[in-house]
Amino acid sequence: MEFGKDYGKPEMFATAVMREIKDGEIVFHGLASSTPMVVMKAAKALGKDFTYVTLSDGVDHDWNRPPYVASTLTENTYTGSVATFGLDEIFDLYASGKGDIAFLSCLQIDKTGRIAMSYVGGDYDHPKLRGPGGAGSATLTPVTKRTIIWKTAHDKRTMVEHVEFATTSPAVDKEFTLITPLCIFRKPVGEKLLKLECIFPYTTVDEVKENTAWVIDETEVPVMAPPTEEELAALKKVDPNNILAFEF
Amino acid sequence: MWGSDLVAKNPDFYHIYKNPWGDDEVVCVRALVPDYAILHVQEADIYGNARILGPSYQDALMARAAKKVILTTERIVGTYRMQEEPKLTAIPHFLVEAVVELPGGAKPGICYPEYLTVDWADHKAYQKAVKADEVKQFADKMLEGRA
Amino acid sequence: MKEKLMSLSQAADLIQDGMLLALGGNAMHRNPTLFALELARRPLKGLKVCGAAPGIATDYLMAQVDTAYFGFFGLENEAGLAPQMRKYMEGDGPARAIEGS
Repeated sequence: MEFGKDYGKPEMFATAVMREIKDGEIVFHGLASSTPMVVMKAAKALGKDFTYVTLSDGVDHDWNRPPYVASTLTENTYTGSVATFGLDEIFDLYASGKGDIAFLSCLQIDKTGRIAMSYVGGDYDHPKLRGPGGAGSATLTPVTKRTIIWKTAHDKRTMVEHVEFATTSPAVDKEFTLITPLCIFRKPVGEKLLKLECIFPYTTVDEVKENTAWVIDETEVPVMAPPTEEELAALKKVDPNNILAFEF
Repeated sequence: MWGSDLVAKNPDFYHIYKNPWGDDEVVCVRALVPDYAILHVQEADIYGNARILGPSYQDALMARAAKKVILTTERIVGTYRMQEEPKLTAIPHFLVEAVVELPGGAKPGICYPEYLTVDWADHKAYQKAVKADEVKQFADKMLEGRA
Repeated sequence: MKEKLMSLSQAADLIQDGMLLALGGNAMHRNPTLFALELARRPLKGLKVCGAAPGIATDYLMAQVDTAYFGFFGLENEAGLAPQMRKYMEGDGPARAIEGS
């Protein structure tokens, strides 16, 4: 598959996120999460056998119903569900160690995985930009086996040297991953810093470094394979209204 | 909550205790007791038994945490609706103090499955009103003929 | 069982200055918006609000609120951030944010 012809950055990003999901896992995304919603629907269309839980209470909703707005609440993730399982139950499930993946996002992040969701600029009581808050990320990050931060922008304002006030930050004993439109950073279990794991076909390590405010030590990393025909077809099938483009 | 700066930021809301059954520590969060939970539902009877169609979010929990509940409802239904399948009553009458029949009571937002898209004209009018310090006038306009 | 039907303004009369309110729904979904607008045009003050994900109805009240307890306070995607929440919290804004998750 050829970049610019068969796929663009949104499709590569979505594919990278999709490849994180494995059979048998329990996977959660929250609200204001149109990108992971499309990705998880597409993973279902590819035949991945995972459990989909989210804020609309729906468990494994009917992914054949295409989202028509970017909202991740209500019928987009509810209609055709096989059961209901509310957010309070999801938090309890994850607190008991049964949750595999939580897809979360951020306003800013640094190399240690400290995440700003509360504010950017100023201080907590006098913020320049008041953010929406952690949306459960402070609750979920310490207890989720693999927290995956999806961020559809990769620049020095987002990937900063130091996050002053962390709405949440990773636990040493849990895996923690950051996926951007350029690459994947991962903090393995037992370690404290994000490492550049791989880059996407249309970029270079230098370009990643130019757009990241923290120091990247890795010089050579693998290039992730482009989306396959099947992966692109799955994305197209579940998302005819191109909700995926909303955040790019 | 470990790893979050929120814990140290709000000592009147978070407290760290030693786990009485182990050597570790636990973060405790202060319980909130709302004076009122105010909920919009699709179906309620005149006594305040209410059904929520579609996602219930945290409404049932808030109803239980609050001292009392005020319901606005798309429609009033007969109590027989609750008796058909009691498990579907999300809010039982004894928690409720007031029931207001208010069709469209979640507009310009969405109320599954009654209205499924945001009324963007009204929402934009609100965003404008915020900038112009005219939220009260916006409220008056939205409530014309409703009180 | 006791009958509890009231008009919108009768029910709104129950709300007084300084109360802690939990408004239902999430973001733009199933919020008690018209009830909140009835409160927004009254001279209420010192209100406190709470919820896991307060949405548009809570935002309508933010001019009258001194403290908001929340996990996520926003309207989601196309509807964006909560405008009055930002107006009264950013810079020297008087409302306090206490985040719970």
